[in-house]
Amino acid sequence: MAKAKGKAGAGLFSPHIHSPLSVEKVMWDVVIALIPAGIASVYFFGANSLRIIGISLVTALLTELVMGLMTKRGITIFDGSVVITALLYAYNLPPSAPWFVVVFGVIFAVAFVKWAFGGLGYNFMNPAIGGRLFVMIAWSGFVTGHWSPTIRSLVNQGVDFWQASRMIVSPEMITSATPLSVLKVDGIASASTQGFTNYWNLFIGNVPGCIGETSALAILIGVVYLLIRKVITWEVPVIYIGTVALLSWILGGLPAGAGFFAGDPLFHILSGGLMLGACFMANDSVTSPLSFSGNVFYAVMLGILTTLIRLFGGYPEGVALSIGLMNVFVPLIDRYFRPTIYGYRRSRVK
Amino acid sequence: MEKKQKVFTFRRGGIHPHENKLTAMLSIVNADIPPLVRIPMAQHLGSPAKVLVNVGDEVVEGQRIGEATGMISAHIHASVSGVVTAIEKANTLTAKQVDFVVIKTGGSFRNWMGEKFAWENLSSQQLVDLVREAGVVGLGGATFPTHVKLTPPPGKVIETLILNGAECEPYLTIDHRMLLEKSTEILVAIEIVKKILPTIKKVYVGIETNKADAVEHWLQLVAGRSDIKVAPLRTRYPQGGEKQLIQAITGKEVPTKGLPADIGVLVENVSTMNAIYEAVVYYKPLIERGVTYTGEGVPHPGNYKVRLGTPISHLIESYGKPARYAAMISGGPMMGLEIPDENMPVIKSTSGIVFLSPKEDYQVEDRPCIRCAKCLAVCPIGLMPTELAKLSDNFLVEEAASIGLFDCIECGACAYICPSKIPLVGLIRYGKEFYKRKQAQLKK
Repeated sequence: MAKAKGKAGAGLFSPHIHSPLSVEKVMWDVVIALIPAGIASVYFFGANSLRIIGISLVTALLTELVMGLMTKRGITIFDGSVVITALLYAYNLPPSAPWFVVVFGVIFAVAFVKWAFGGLGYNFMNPAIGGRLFVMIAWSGFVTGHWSPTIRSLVNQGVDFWQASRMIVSPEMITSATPLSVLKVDGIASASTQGFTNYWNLFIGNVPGCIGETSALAILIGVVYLLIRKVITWEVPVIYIGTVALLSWILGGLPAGAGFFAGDPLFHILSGGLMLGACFMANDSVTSPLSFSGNVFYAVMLGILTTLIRLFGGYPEGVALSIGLMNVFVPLIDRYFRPTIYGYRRSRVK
Repeated sequence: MEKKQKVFTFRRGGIHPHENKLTAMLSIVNADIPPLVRIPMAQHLGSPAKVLVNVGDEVVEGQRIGEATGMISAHIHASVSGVVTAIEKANTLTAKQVDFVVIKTGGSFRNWMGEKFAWENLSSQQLVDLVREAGVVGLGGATFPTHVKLTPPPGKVIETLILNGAECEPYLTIDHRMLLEKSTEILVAIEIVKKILPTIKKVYVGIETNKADAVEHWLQLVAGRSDIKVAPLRTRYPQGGEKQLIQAITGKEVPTKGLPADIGVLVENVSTMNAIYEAVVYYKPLIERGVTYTGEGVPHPGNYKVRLGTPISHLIESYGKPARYAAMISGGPMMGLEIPDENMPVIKSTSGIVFLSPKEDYQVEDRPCIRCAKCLAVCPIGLMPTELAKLSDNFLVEEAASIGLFDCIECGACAYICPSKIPLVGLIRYGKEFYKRKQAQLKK
């Protein structure tokens, strides 16, 4: 926004008053909303979460600082957007993720996905999703193959927090799988015997997974805050999750040969990265469509893609892939899904 | 139990800025007649009037000094008696280098409201002529010549008259006062308009509910009448926009590029109705108008009846101005224009003079769009303001026009809400201008 700006006339032209809303307020509100999931991640995965979040934050802030100065945009670290990226990226890693996965993934997210395309507002994909997809390919073993159990059972047995944190990422412990990978490989019966269909554990987040994605409860607290603050709207999270629920109910039984309408929608909603993805990443304002109808289409497509990848794809989880793919389609969606303009409905009828 | 009154509103978008109706309780007071008036020949939408007087001429108050030229134009009258001391070129807020007639006040003034003239037996055409003679234009701010509105194109049948008393702009209270103080006059004006357009079946008086006393007053006034209805409107900007008001009350939409007459509706501002009344009943031309003079820290805020051509500096002398202010606005803060020069006069479009306090200052920052889509959510037309602004900014005006550039009513709701403080309306307005200039060049 620069060329015509002089002519657009700051000051002289209306409107002369302005709402107190600002980019900073919006961004820091999202950061606040992400805090419960961060607390939950430490509660379930111990010091590992602190380590990953810490490395991610420091690296992201430094990258943002360097990129902002390099591109002569000044110091942009205070607008909060890079903190969101750092937190979301960290939340998308398993507790055992080594430091270089954290560092290079978040550099890719901030420097390439965000800044190479013009910084805040110009990224073609959610930066955290971009970083996540990058490390999924570059270090897929570390990111999608190594899972740790939560520290809760150890802590309940009397092991202290620090020791439990170390134990769950030790080679002996890293054999555990996530609910979705068990489902993919061994089927729902096996997931059930491992206790992964315990909806309460899935809801509070006491299951293996990426550090910030497992606790639906913590994520919902953040979402309610954002809805109350009117930072986000309901359509993408609700329709995305709703579509996954519907499709996983209809198609969920097929891989196990149980026929249609035999799936477990609640299991699919609560496991994996759906909650975090639908509530914090798919509806990232920069990379989601503008219009209501566009958002409905986008969310339905996300739901279809996620369910199809989960049930029939090579990966156990499809949230990041779906969001990354649909992000790229957003400019096209914006072209074809526009609100009906006042006065057109009637003239079309004529 | 009283039956709960239905509250009307437009279908989508809208904002609710701080109302700041500081002067709502203050009755309309006549402002002093200034020692000198400067009357521009362009005070209305359409072509400027042609000067009819020469330097040195003596004029009397109400004398026609500017003649309408072309189909859409309006006469201009001397607002004071006196001597023409100069005819000069100057700028108004909306027109560049137009003729100003400068009159030094002197001589006698008359009482316009003395003798009443009978209008009941006049023909529709005679009544329209009286309105035209008086130079009445829409006083809500758009200043469209009223006699043109009262003469719908052949084939268009006006069935609904809507009185616009929404006054959705923050600060402004002059229409509110008109509704309270001039209700009998406005009721007569309704009869006059019905006489002009006998096809009118329904009359609605649209008033935002933040003017509870006005709503109450009018409900009592028209109690028992089936032809006039009060339509309380939700307090929501831009409720008083013509298209929004029509949608709120009738549920119908004015077709794009069309006129309210296309769907049988005529909208008149309440101050305009009072002007119609005075033009027809007292043969009084439009030589003064109500102006809300307000703002935080203004020593004597109020609703003043001001002679057209009164320099704003004269109002400042009479009523003061705040020690510190961010901007002086003609009209409301949402759609008004900043007054760059205190010598500019009050004209037919000046519904208010608003001093904005420094804390309300609208600073445009160079922040990128984060595509939050709040501008879409508040747009009462259903446009994508951010897209229109981006396209305009990049001079891609044909594409912008294809997605509704010219349907924008420039209400400013998008620029108000934008967290990145992008001057969306400014860019859209610039895009419109650029498009028109480009089309004109292509024709050559």
